[in-house]
Formats: sequence, structure tokens, C-alpha cells
Amino acid sequence: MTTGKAPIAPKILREETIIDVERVSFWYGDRAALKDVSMAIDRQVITAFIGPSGCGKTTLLRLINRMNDLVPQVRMAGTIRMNGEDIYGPDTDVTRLRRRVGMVFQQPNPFPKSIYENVAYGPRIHGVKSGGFLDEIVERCLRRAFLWEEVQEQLEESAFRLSLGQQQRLCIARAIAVEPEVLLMDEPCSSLDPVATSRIEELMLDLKDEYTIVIVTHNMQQAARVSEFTGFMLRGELVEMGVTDAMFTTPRDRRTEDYITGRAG
Amino acid sequence: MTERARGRRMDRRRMLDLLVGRLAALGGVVLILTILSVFAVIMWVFYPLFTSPFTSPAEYPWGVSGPDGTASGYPILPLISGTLKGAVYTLIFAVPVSVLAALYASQFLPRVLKERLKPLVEIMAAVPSVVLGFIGGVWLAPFLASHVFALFLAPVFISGAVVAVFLIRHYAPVRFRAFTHPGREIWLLLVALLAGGWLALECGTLLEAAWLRAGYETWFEESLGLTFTQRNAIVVGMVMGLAVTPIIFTLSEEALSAVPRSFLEGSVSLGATRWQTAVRIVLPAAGSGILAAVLLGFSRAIGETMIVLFISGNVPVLDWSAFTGFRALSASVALDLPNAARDDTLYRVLFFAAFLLLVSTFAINTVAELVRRRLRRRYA
Amino acid sequence: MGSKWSKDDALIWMSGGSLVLGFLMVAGLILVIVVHGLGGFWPRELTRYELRDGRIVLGHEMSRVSVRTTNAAGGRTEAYRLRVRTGDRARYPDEYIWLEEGRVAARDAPREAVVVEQVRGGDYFGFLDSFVDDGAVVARGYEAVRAHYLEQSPELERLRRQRALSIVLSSVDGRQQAISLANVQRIYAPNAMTTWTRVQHYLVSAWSYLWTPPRDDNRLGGVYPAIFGTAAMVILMSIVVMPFGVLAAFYLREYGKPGPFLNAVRIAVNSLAGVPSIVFGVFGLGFFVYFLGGTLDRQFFPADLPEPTFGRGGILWCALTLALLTLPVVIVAVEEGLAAVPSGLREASHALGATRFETLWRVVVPVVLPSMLTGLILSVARAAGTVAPLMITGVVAFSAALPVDGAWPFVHLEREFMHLGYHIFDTGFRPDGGEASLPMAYTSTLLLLSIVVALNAAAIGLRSRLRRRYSLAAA
Repeated sequence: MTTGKAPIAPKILREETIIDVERVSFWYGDRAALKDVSMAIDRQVITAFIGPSGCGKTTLLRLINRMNDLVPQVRMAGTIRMNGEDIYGPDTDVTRLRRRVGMVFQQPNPFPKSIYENVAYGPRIHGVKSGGFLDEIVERCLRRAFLWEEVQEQLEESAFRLSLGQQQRLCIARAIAVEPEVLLMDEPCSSLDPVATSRIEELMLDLKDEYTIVIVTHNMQQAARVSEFTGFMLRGELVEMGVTDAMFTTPRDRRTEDYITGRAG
Repeated sequence: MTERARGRRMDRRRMLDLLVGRLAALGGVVLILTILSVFAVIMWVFYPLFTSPFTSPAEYPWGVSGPDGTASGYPILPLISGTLKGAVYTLIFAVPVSVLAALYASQFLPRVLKERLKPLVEIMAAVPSVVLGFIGGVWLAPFLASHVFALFLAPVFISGAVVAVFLIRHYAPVRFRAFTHPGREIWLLLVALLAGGWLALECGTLLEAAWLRAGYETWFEESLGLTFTQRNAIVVGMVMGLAVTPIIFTLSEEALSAVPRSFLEGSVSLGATRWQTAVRIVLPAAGSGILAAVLLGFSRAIGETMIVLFISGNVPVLDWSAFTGFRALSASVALDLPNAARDDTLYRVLFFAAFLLLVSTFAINTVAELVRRRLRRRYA
Repeated sequence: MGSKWSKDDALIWMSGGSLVLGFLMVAGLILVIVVHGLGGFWPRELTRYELRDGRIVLGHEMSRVSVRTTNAAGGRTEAYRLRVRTGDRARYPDEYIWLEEGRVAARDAPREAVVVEQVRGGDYFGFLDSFVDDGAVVARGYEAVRAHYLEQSPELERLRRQRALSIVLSSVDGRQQAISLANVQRIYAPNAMTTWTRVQHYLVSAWSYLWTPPRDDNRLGGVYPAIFGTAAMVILMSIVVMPFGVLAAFYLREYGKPGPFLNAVRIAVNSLAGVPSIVFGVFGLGFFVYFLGGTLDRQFFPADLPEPTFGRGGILWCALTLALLTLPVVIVAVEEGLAAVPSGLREASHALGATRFETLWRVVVPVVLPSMLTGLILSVARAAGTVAPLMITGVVAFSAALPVDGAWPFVHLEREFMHLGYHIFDTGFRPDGGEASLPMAYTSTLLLLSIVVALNAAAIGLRSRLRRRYSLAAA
């Protein structure tokens, strides 16, 4: 049994590594949210972060596309690299980073615009003006998100008229419309019913051939169903990280075992 | 305590409760009656205008001033036009400034600063209109009338100064950058604005030396073929603009701040800049709230009396030029009603003018309030 | 991309610029008011101008403006003109004259030049010639007259009544004029003053501005009746609007049955708050003055008809009109306070068997009391700054009689009265341009602005303390 600061899963940088988190700590004001977290995330697989609420998994996820820049009075230490480039370096263009690292949120958050405009928004701000080209992008992304069949007749209607599950798929379509390399998903199914959840999971498995997906979930079954790698976090520390199957069957850390078997958390 | 005494006490308590309940209900009834009576009394007074065979509204009250400003009958049409003219010029000044400022305050200003800003805006809103009107008419109007070129140059120079300060700060080495703390740039902006304004004044003086042979009146007449008066729509627009800016600012800021953060995060996560997000997502989402704010500002500008009285020049004309004055309904009521004999036609016409103001502002306010409530419900 | 500047960031700065612009403009206007308003009492220097044509003028230089002229050949010249206040209405009826600066041969500031503030007739600028006591000259020359005047001044009031005392003044060009001492308010020699005596003079002037009635058609003197009238009207208004507004708020929030009707009333109150003040004035004239006032006259003062008693503008009608105007302010403030009372408090009281009124009185009212105070302060501030409706319901530019005095029945609700805001309108908006009354107008503007800002700041401070308390209670 390992405890405390002992190295958990040795971080191995490989050719497949796309995101390299190195000794990252993070504070909201005086409260530490992440403590010395290091990990490597592989290309074109699904990586899941699990852990009890407040363990820092969402914070870590939001650091990868620098969404925490929007929060005042925070502090960070350590480095995060994407394809070897320091994303917190002085020369980083944040908007370009976020274009390469898309995000899907806990609550579906379509814009108060039409379905079409929701998907077209990203390409538009990145300079796509041609209507025909936009139409193509919208259709491709909606198809990719398994939504086209359901909405092709009502593209001009408000996105708020869709069901929650459809809204979340629309958000995924919106995210892939800017052609990111990585998709971050922050508990994407927590507000959905089981049927809608399974649709999203299906979609994720389908998308992983093209995108690297990092998903935060409090649902261990979901992590087990969809992810290849899982990291377990507790109180701002990464307790254990490894191949999902191995971790769920033979956890190396006592705390992981407690959490997975339901004895804690 | 005996049972009976307790019963009596209970009765007294119930009586008192009932009494106060009735009293409050009475307060409510009187409130409703008051609102209705405002309409009723004013209508009661002007109604005979529309029935009396001698002073048909088609002839007397609608009289229009001639081209030389001579009025035949009481010129209510030029007054309506004047009222709208004042309100439109007010909005031309107030809307860009207050909506942009609200956008900035809601999206880019740190919370702490915003909280400090709010009471200041509230106090700005409370400045009596007689004060603004006085200073506008007595100081600002003559000042602007002798610095017309500077006035034209000011928007360009001030924008230029803001961009210049922005660039200087951007390219300055990090350790020389003053006020790097977010939100502190307002101090740099202050410097930029003062510098821009000062430059505009200086260049305006240079232009005057080059172009102006006599006063501005002559220059307008000869070069542009326009009439120029010291008390004109631009000054009214600026001063009344300052009076309505706090209203539009506060309500717009409220609407913009009510836009859920999730929209903002969704947009930013797609690689949009903060400005793109603010303009393409937040602004449209708060659109109806901002519209309500502008409507309220418009309604305030329609009915504003003292500012118009001081600055508009009070000459009834039908033109919409920025360099001439006008006469508004509200100012006419204030100026002429003290001299109108009771139940005279003039008296009734002025009540009719007041009724126009009452109905239009009441309607606009109601629409704006309904819009605001809907918006609040939607994002609650 | 890196450190290349982005257009979007520049646009953010522009939007920030508009925020600063709004503040800057208001601050600028307020600065102008403060500078002019505070400067009004400072003793200005008296300058003697000798012109090339031999004329001599004594006066305050009020402003200096540039005049651009073009001659026949197209050449341009720039000259300056001085606006001089002469204090010599016998010679210059408008008191103000223009002097071409190019034609001034010499100028100096004679130490003996004095300003005589008269009770009637404005200020006189000249030189002390002699002191006349019942027809006999008792002193001659600046020092002697000044000494004599100062010697007499402690008992001036008594002496004035007993004997015909007067001071003979000579104007700068030698014309003599006698001014009865009864008509002399104050004499001072501004050019001979030290900084300390100037400060003293300033403070005395400011004090007498607050506590004396106006002189010389509101151009000089004080604004005491206007301050008194404003205060009396506002108090009267508060007496009406507070109970009514509080009852109405209780009805809207506590007793009325929540539903579409109550909602409609609430929206109507809100819309009423945005109705222009002048409309309330018109309503006040039609309903209060002519209808209520006329009825009162017919019932109680038929002897005086057709001369109206209550059937014309007066302080009561102004107060009622403004009560109507500020009603929404009170209702909104009290409603906000009522909404902030935690419902648990009310339920707890009801659960103990208290009736609705008892709950209201013992539990709710104490908590809402500060909100009522906020509403009161805000409505007072609004009323003190509102002028337009008063213009048609009973305010006057000058009134010797106060609405409250020693004569039976002490409170004269039917009287017309002076109001600080209307005083600004009267002194700041005169057909002749009114430069003579502008210093007064600036001072009154500063006074009104300070009162209103102070009241609002108090209300805001009170409210924020209140909100903090509730947010703490909720936490």
C-alpha cells in the first residue's frame, strides 16, 4: 500500500502523448485545488478523471484549455504541454489553443440562437464567411454528432427547443465544428437521463478515432464503459492513473480501492 | 386571566388585525384610484377641446408655425416634433456611451471595481435636472458654441488617444507597464481621454485661426448654409444624454450581467476572444433588456423639462438640424401654463400636451417593464 | 501571433473609454459648478481703468474674451475685450460694460476703492468721501470716514433710527452720491484686504448667504427663504407620502392577494415612477389647485371670493403634487425591504399564534424600518431637486412671507413660497442673459447639488448596511 507522496503510476512520456501535465498545482485564492499533479494523456483514446466532488478533476480539465483564465484571483504552478508546447508560455495564443482543445460542459449550454447558428458560430469567428461552406460544416458536424436526422428539418429553430440530450449533442457538434484535436468533457451526462446518456457514450466511442477525449465523470460505470485510461483524484492529488480495466480490477492504492468499492467518497 | 378576559383580549387583537388589514387595503385602493385619477383629471380638462364647435382641434391647437417662426394658433405639432428631436439627439449621445460602458462594466471590469462604481452611478442619476440644465445652458452651451471645431474633432482625437495609449502600453516592456492589474486600465483611459480632449481643443483653435473670419454663426451660414444657434440640439443631446446615461447604463448592465456565464464559457471554449463573445453572444442575449433600457431612457428624455427649458432655446421650429434649438411639449407646459387662465383654450391645449406626455411615457415604461420581467424570468 | 496586439483588445479599451467618458463629463460639469459656486463669495479686486479717450472706469473684471475680426483686405486681427462690472447704475444702468483692451491706457487697483452693499439698489463701487450726521459733515476722507463708520457700527441699528446718517461716496470719475446708512448693509475695501481678512469676509458672506433673504431682485443677498421654503415643502410632503406609501407597500406585499391584478398594480406603480414630473404638475394644477382648492374656497372662504385663498398655487398643493411624484420611490424602497424579510421570521411568529398585524408590527416593521428611512431620504432628495411641477403649482421667484411664521395660524399652507431649485431657474434663466444674477445661481446650484448628493449618499450607505446585515443573517 502506498500513501502520501510516494510516486503512484510513473508518468511515461511516449510518442502517443499529446498532453503532458507536469507538477501542476493550483489555488483559488488561498485554497489549493490541485497539488503537484503530473500525468500524460494519450492521443486518440478516451481518458477519464474520476473522484469525489471537489477533488479537483474539473479544475484540472479546465486548465487544459485555460478556461480558468476567466476566474479572478487564481494562481498556478507547474507546466502543461500540448504536443510539446507549453500552453502557459508567454507566446501562447489562448484563442488558438482553445480552438485546438474543445470543451463540452456539464449543463448543455447552447447559445440562444438557432441550431444552425450554434454550429456555425465557431467557424464564423474563425473567419469562415462563405455560406455554402458553412452549410457543409454544419451538416457534417451534426451528422457526426448523430443529430442530423433529428434536426435537419428545423435548423432555423431555437436550440432551446431541443431536449436536453439533443442539446448536449448539439454542443458536441458545435465543439467539433472548429476541428479541435482534443475534446474535454466535463461530466457531459450528469444532467441527462439514461437513454440520452447512452447516446452520448456511443457518440464518444465513435469520436475517439478522430479526437483525443478527456472526460470528467463521477460515474465510475461510465468511466469503465468508455475510457481506456483512468485517473483517480482525491483532494487535489492524483492518487492513481492507469489502464482503466486494470485500475478497476486491481487498484494499486488503498484509497482507490475504497472509492471504487464504495467504501469512501 | 379569566376565560372572558382572554376572549375579550382575543377580540381586540382580531379587531386590530382586521382594522389594519382594511387600512392597508384602503391604501391599495387609494393607490389604484390615484393612478387612474391622474389620467381622468387630465382627460377631463382637455376633453372639451374635441367637442366644442368653436375651437375644433383641427384648427386651433394643431396650428403650425410659419417658416419665420410665427405661430398661428398654439403650435402643438412643432412641439411634438421638438420633443422627439430632443429625445432623438439625447439617445444619439447616450446610447453608444452607456451601452458600451455597460458592456465593459459587466464583462471586463473586476467585480470589486464594479461594486464601487454602482453608488457613483446612482448618485449621478440623482443629480437634479435643474442643475444639469443650468450648467448646460449657462456654461456648456456658450463653451461649445465657441469651440465647434474642437467638438467635431473630439470623437476622433479621443478614440485615437485611447488606441495610442493602448498600443503604448502593449508594446512597453513588461516592467514599465503601469497598472497591469485588470481593471486598472481605467486610469490610463482617463489620461487618454483628457489628452484627447485637450488635443481636440488645441487643434480646434488652430482650425479657427485658419478658417474662421468672424464667429461660427457666419461660418455656418457661409460655408455650410446652415443656421447655428448657441442653444442647439447638440448641447441638449449631450446634457440630457448625461441625465439618461445612468438609467440606460444601470438597466443595460443589469441585463448583461444576467446573461448566464455558461454562454460565455461556451463561446470562449470555441476559441472566441472575450470581445467576440461579448458582442456576438452576450449582447444579443441581453438584447431585449438593453432595448428596455433604451426605451426607459427615451421616455425620460421625452418628459425631461428643466434641461430642455434651459438649453433648447424654446423656439418652436419644425426642422431637425443639430445646430438649431427647438421647443418641447414639457417646456411649453412649464412656461405657458402659469399664464393660462383657467378653462381657457390655451389651458386645455396645455393639458392635452401633458396628456400626450403622460400616455406616451406610461406606455413606454410599461412595455419596458414587461420586457425586463420576461428577461428576468428567462434567465432566473 | 504572440505579442502582436489584437483589434479586439483595443475595442475593449474603447468600451472602457466610454465608461470613463461618462464619468469624466459629469465630473467636469460638477467641477465647473463647484469652482464657480465656491468662488462667488471671494472679494474680487476693484480695478481702475484709464481709457485712451480719457474715460475712467472702476470695476471687477469678470471675464476676458478674444474677438476675431477680418478687415477689408482679408487680414485677420485678434483683440481682447473685458467684461467689467461697474457697480455704478447711475451711469451704466446695466452695470456691466465691455471694454476694448486695446483702448485701456493704464490700470491700477486703488487701495481706497470700496464696495458698498446696499439693502436696495445693488452694490456700489466708489470712494468714501464724507460722513454726514443730520446734515453736518463729521468726517472727510477715506481713513476718517472708515474710522467713523467702524466706530458707529456696533450701535448702528439704534443710531439709524434716531438720526439721518449718510455716507457720501464719490465715483471714480468724481460724481458724488449720498447713501443713507439705513440702506447700507456692509462696506469693504477689497484692494486693501489681507489674505486673512479676505477669508473672514468669505466666511461671513457664505454665512449670510444661508441666513438672509435675497436683495436686489435675487441678484444679491441670501437664499434663506428658499431654503426654508424647500424644507417646509419637503416636510409637508413627507408627512403625506410616508404613511400612504408604506400602507400601499404593505398592501402590495403583505395584504393584497398575489395574482395578475396585484402584478398589474405593481407595474402601474413602476410606470408611474417614469412619468415626467411636469405631468404631475399639470395634474396638481387641475385637481389640487382648481378642484380641491376651489371647493375649499367655496366651503370655507366664500367671503374672500372671487379672490382665491386655496384656489391658487400654494405650498400645500406643491407638497401634495410632489408626494404623488415620490410615492413610487417610497413604495419601491419599502417593498424591497419587505421582500428581504426572511419568510421564516414571519412563519415563526404566525406559528406562535400571532395575528397578521401583530406579526407585521412586532416582527416585520422593526426589520423594515431602515428601508422606510431609505425611502424617505430618497423621496426627500427627489423632491428637493424637482422644480418643473412646482412652477405651475405655487412656487415664486421672490416672496417676503415665509410659509411658517409667528402670525396666526402660524402655518400658512395656502401661501406661495420660494424654492431653491426654482431660485436657480429664476437667477440662471433671465431674458437679458442675467450675468448679474449668475454668481448667485452658481452658488445656489452648488448648495442644491450638495444637499441632494448628501441625501442620496446617506440613503445608499444605509441601504448597503442593511443588505450586508441580511446577507450575514442568511449565511
